[in-house]
Amino acid sequence: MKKLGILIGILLLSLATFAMDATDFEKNLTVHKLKNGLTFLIYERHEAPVVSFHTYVNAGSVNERVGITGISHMLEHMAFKGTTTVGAKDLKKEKELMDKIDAKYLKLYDLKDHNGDKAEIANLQKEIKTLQEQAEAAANIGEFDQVISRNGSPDLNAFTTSDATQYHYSLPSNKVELFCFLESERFYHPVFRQFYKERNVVAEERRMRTESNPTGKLIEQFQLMSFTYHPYHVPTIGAMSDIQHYTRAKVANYFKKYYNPRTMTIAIVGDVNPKTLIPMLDEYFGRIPAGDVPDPIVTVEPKQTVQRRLILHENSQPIYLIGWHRPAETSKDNAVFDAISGIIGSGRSSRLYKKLVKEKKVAAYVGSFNGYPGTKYPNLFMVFAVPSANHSNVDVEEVINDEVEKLKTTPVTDEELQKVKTQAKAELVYAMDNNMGIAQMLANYYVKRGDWKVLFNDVDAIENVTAADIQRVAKEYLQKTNSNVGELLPKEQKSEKE
Amino acid sequence: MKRISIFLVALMLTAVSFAQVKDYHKIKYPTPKAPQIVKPFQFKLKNGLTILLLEDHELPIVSGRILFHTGSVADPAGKTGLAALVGDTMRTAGNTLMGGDQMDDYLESMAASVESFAGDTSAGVSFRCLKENADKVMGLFQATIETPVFAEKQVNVSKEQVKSAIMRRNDNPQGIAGREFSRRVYGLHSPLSAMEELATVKAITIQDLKTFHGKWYVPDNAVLAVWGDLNRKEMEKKLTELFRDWKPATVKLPTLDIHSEKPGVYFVHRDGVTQSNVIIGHLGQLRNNPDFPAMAIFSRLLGGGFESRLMKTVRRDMGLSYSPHGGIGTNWDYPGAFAIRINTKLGSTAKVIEVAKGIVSDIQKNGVTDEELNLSRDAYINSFVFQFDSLDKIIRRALTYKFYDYPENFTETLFNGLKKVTRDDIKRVANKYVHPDKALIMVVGDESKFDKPLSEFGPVTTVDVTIPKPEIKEAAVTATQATLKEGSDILRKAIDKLDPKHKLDKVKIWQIKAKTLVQQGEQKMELNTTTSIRYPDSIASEMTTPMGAVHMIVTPEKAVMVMGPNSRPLPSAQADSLKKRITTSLPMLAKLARGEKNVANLTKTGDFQGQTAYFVLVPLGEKKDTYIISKKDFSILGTTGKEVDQTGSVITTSSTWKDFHEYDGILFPTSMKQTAGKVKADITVESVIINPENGDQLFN
Repeated sequence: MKKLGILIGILLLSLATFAMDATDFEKNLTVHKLKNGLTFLIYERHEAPVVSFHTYVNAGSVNERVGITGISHMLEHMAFKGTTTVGAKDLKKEKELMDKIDAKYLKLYDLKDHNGDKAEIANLQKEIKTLQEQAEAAANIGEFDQVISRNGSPDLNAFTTSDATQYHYSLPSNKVELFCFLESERFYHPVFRQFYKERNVVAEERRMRTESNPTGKLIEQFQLMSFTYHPYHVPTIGAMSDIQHYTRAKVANYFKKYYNPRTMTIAIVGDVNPKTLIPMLDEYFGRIPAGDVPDPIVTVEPKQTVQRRLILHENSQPIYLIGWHRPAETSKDNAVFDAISGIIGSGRSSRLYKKLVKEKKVAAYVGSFNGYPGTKYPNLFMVFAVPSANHSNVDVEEVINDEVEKLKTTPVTDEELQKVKTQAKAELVYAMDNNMGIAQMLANYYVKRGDWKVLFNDVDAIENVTAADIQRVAKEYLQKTNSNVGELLPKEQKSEKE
Repeated sequence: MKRISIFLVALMLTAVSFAQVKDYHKIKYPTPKAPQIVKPFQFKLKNGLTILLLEDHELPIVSGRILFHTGSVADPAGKTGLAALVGDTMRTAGNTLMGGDQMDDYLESMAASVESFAGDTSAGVSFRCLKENADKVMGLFQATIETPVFAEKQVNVSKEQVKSAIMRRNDNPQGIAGREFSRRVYGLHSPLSAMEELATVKAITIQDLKTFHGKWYVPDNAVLAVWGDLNRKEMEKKLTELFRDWKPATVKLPTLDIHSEKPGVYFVHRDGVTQSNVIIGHLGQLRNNPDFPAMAIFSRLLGGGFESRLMKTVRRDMGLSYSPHGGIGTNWDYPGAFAIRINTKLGSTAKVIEVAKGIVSDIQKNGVTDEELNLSRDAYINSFVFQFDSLDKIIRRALTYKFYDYPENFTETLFNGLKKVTRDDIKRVANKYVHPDKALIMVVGDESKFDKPLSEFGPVTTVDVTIPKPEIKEAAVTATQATLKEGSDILRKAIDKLDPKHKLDKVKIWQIKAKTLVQQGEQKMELNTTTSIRYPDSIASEMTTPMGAVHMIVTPEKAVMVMGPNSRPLPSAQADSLKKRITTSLPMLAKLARGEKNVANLTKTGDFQGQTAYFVLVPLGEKKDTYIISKKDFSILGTTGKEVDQTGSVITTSSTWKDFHEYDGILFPTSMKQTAGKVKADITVESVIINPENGDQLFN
């Protein structure tokens, strides 16, 4: 027992004295911009002979419109299908066959939409199947991902969000040129092989994530409700009917408009030497013609004047979501929202967890986050709660509302503010431990915030947040009339609001 | 100057000498660099604790992790969930150094973490912090491991979270499929299949937590690893001091009982979904199997990546599923499961089962191609460097090998093995370790939309995933011949007072119309209800709410709910609660009261709302309610009882009966106040119709 006394003596609150430094970081960073507008962020990290690549395309579901919802995500799938050199065998023949398939599909869509003759539909489907087989025989299906896999990549993948479409993989560091070849080809002259089959895969993805998953359904409905005019309204997976009407031409048009060196940024992190890497980047990626920057989105979500609520009855226990409209990530109040989220909804010491989970035991879990469904445009600050077994959404809603009110009326404590500041510094240190994580952060900050240095400036911005800032922002944004509520309830349980 | 200019020219030459290729096969790669393979430093304390250390000075972070051979397989009977609760509350419910809540504040204020966790055969504690806080955090790490106090306050919070998880375990169909498949692969009687239930979690006491911790969390049952920005020698000294007083003891996990359930189809019905979750498989292997390299390549080719047969066929060529995958599953200390997992639209459920089976049997019969083998082998071998790309990965793996007693060069041996795998090996392991004819097929979905009946694939067992409610424990009441006679006489008099002409005996159907005001907390709802009962076994209830009418019908043949044009099966919990209303209705009470047996027990005579009353315990169906009967005039004043609610909690129910009116010679209480837990209902009866004409139609 002797050592315990001594330890208690040193268990005093302490502040982080260490922080990542932008100047140290900069020593290993090279920003290289090609003439066509494509930007590379190269960060040297020679811990191991490996390198990670992260391609950020500044287009996501926010750039979609009715009729082609989900097309950014569909295009992400198609970006694994190869190019005119990778995956090609008899390209001319393949292209002819693909054109024929497109024509048949247009007809098929038309017949299906207009209650067409069943025999005709069946016949058409049979013809399509034959053409597809021929097209596949004229190609080397799967070559693109096979070559990356074969060369040892453990993490080839991509993801689409409202703001962007992002592609990534890692390779042993002697294979950097393979990346240059494949990634430049991929976005220079892609071939959308097996288009209509991949469309079915995307439909299955929608069935899995959204239609057959109660929480997925809730989130989709919540997004649709929360944004009325701004295209953050569009769920990334897209409407089933739109998916079932995709054509290769629609995706090609979208690609042409939104994918070019000026919408793309590539971060390369790991065991690389910029001196040898840059000539390679120039050679391979310099081939891609400069395109136009797409027109900006001018629509602004109208100020919300009444609370909106949706109640979804499913085979599920209750879930509660609430989201308040807030400004974009570039706003001066961004750091204040980060501080608010840290204080009320991050970790076991946060206000909401203490109240809802520990004290009142009305929730099994509660948390908060900023940036739903994206961060580029004005978005939502979200709180979500999982009510405990004997409680429902009513019980958690009351406490959440109380805690939000308290932010307006009473200044937060110095300890709480200090905690979020320390965490911001430490989290940046923790985030520097792997190539892929660094690559993703660099690309995101560079595109969304205009400068990778903001990664460090954000920590300073939080450092400057005051208790008065939090009160001001809470009063301005965290109003009932500015909020959206989503409730998931068991089929047999009524909400008080019904 | 000269030297510099030559250098510049050389540099320019390298720059211009680069030229792109038109075909990636022609790329000339520099020689790959070998990964730096470092070995952690290992030592052992006198009390038996094995410790691994590794310096990593890239970032100012220190991390640690200790593992123990214990977990849910060590849960005692009737207390399933104990290991998991220990794994949770070791950290959250505090230790002799600091309370749990205080620790939350303290650790988060310095962005550090100490976390405890438990799985099925392993459990442990981990920490991570900035170097400058390492001493303080490691003090708490040690106290969490050695001297947790399991404070009741935080244990109760964890129990609530566990209860919530139990209630939510059927929310996601994918989760249901995985869980129920695994339980059948290991056998329903295996400790690997035991599930925590509301009752088993409730049964766990603070003493249980302490006893479990004391038994299993001992130094010679553990391996500790600490790594990061530290000095190896200093850390060795520090840890030796920190864990010096920890007392050793010998423990060993029991051998696991694993007996798979019989092959066939296991089905869980789920409505409101557009997709089925399908899993096909059986018991798998241990990772120390000498065939592990061949199994790894077989699994990769069957369903482990974009180049696998499942991905190529089911996803890429047929477009039937987003992420079909599968392989021979392995674990460190007990067999994994061979499994193929596919989500697909309801209408292709049978199709994917057929396709998956076809893919397996094709590999068994024809093996794989040279191209497939080479691709998969190259992919593995070229990814070797990623096994060693961070010191964090290296020490975590070393900890795992040490903990499960695997050779420390297990990774290197595996990769050497992978290089030697042949096509014959693949075919051999496919036949030796995979048996589609003995597979269990788990399906979760809506069978009304399947392309073929599941019985095509073998005998179908329907799996009931209803979450069991805890049993109601009745307080022991003495019942003697005398109290039973007294109670039954009193009940008979009370019934005769309500029904002097024995009209209740002749009720075939009766219908009650009422207005009900339901109140829970501050929320209120007014309903118009019509409840019709056809004796002995049918009930129809119609509710008009502000949102529209809901019709619920329960007969021996069916249990449905109708809302507008939509009809769907009534959840069993609601059907049960409706059935209870048949057994507790007045005609049933009269039948029991006027029967030959004396079953109503007088439990006490006492005060009720200012008057003396008899308390008579009456068993009606599965429910036991106490009827409170006035001593003065034998009128029924109300009832009290206990019930299990929809979340599995035992709640108290009560009712008071007032304003008796006569309907067809029967006195009926027209004003009833009921409570069930936190829900209150004021019922005003508007009419009672006995044996209405065409009454049977109400139950169609």
